[in-house]
Amino acid sequence: VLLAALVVAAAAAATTFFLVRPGNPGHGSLVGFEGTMGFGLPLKHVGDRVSVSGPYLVKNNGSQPLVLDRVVPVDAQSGIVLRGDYVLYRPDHLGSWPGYRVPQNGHPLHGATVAPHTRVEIVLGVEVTKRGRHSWQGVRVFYRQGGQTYSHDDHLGVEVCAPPPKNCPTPFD
Amino acid sequence: MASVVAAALAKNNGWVNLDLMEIGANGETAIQSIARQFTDGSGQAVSAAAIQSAGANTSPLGHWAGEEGQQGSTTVNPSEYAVVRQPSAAAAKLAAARIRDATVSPTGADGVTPSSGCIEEATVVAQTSIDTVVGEMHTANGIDSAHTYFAYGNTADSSLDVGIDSGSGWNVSGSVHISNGSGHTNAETWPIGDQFGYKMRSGFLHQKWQYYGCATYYEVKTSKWTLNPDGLVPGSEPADYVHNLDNNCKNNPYYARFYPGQSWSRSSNAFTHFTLGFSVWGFEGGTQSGASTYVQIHYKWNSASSVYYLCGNDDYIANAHRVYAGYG
Repeated sequence: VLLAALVVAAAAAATTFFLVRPGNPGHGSLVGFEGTMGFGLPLKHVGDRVSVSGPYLVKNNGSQPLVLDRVVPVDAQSGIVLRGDYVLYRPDHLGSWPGYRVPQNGHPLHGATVAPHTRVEIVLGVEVTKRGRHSWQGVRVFYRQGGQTYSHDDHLGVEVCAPPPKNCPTPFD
Repeated sequence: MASVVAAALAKNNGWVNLDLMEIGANGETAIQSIARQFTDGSGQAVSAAAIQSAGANTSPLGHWAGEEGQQGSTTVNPSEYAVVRQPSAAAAKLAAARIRDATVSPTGADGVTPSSGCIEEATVVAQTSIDTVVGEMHTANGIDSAHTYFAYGNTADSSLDVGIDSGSGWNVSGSVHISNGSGHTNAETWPIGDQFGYKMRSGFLHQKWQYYGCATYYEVKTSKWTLNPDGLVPGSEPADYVHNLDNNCKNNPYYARFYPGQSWSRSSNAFTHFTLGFSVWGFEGGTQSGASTYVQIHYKWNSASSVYYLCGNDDYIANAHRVYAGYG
């Protein structure tokens, strides 16, 4: 059946509605996850580190390879520092793990290539640098693709607490 | 932007629900419900105040986005619409006149009234506020029940199927998105303890409409979140029990480990669609929650064990449609 072009909006009140196709210029093809993912991580001492992932998977949805450059926290308070990062081409089962070290199968994030239609896991090494509760609200991943530099934001929020309180909430609580 | 659309956006946290009536050249008439949100460049709903101050010139403020994706376009699909009038020679003749009139003589920004066509009218013939599925939550052992919860609100955030009956029974014809505020200042939060696995429910107002004029049919459409009834009483609905899916992460490729004292939360628009989210007047509608941060699952583990497990049903937990708990 060929449905023709008459479109009538017959909601509570009759109205016409024009479907608008938004532009999306200048974006590369790296995608992360929808919504937010938050971590609340108690640490015994100032200077302690924790590995954070989820796993945090980023995918190259495009047809060209892309190269990861760096990842930086967004809206970070003082007292929480990103000390390191690496990628795993085969995702492991890391939610968050006390301590931080790069495993044998970990590759430096800077320069890591993500092939078309594949994804990698990003693991973040987080350190608490002063007493109390400190957080960031998200992370920004910078990458290069086809001669251009892009960035992608994910709402991956981290809160660290040292020394451990009764409850160390996520930044989204 | 038409004032009626701006008013609808203000009542529903930036969302507007519409019925598309599609009339084919052969006279077949179909209805499909769609929801659209007016969002800014970062994907956040444009405020009612900003829309009001912009008047008719709202284009610089944002764009329309749909639940089908950020593209905002809709493909009319036979699996998603309900036919309310079958094709016939008489219907085809009327449809041809209406299409011609609509093309040549639109009456203005607020409507199109074909001179030789008909005007569809509707009346609410019944309404009821009932428990409706808004999500699910799973736990295993080692939960800190004071800080583990499922949260919904302080505005609603659910898509709910729309039902159409033109005489041959109910059919799903798209969905509405409900995002109104509850009047409460805090989110609805259900604390969760060990070994829990239920669908979570909250009250929504569902209405039964009778349409007439161009085509005659009934429509079941959700109107707003009412919190009446308010929340889940575990065990009150045996069909809501889904804990049998837990304590099996050892056989799941998408498990993740957490450690004592840690917390993890997620809000997403990728949570699962429940095929049976509500049942009213014989229509069984599906629901899906979470297109914003208003639906959240939140875990905190105690120190009873050395490691804790969550796992996704179809992907790792940051991307899965359902999140289960327990290694097994």
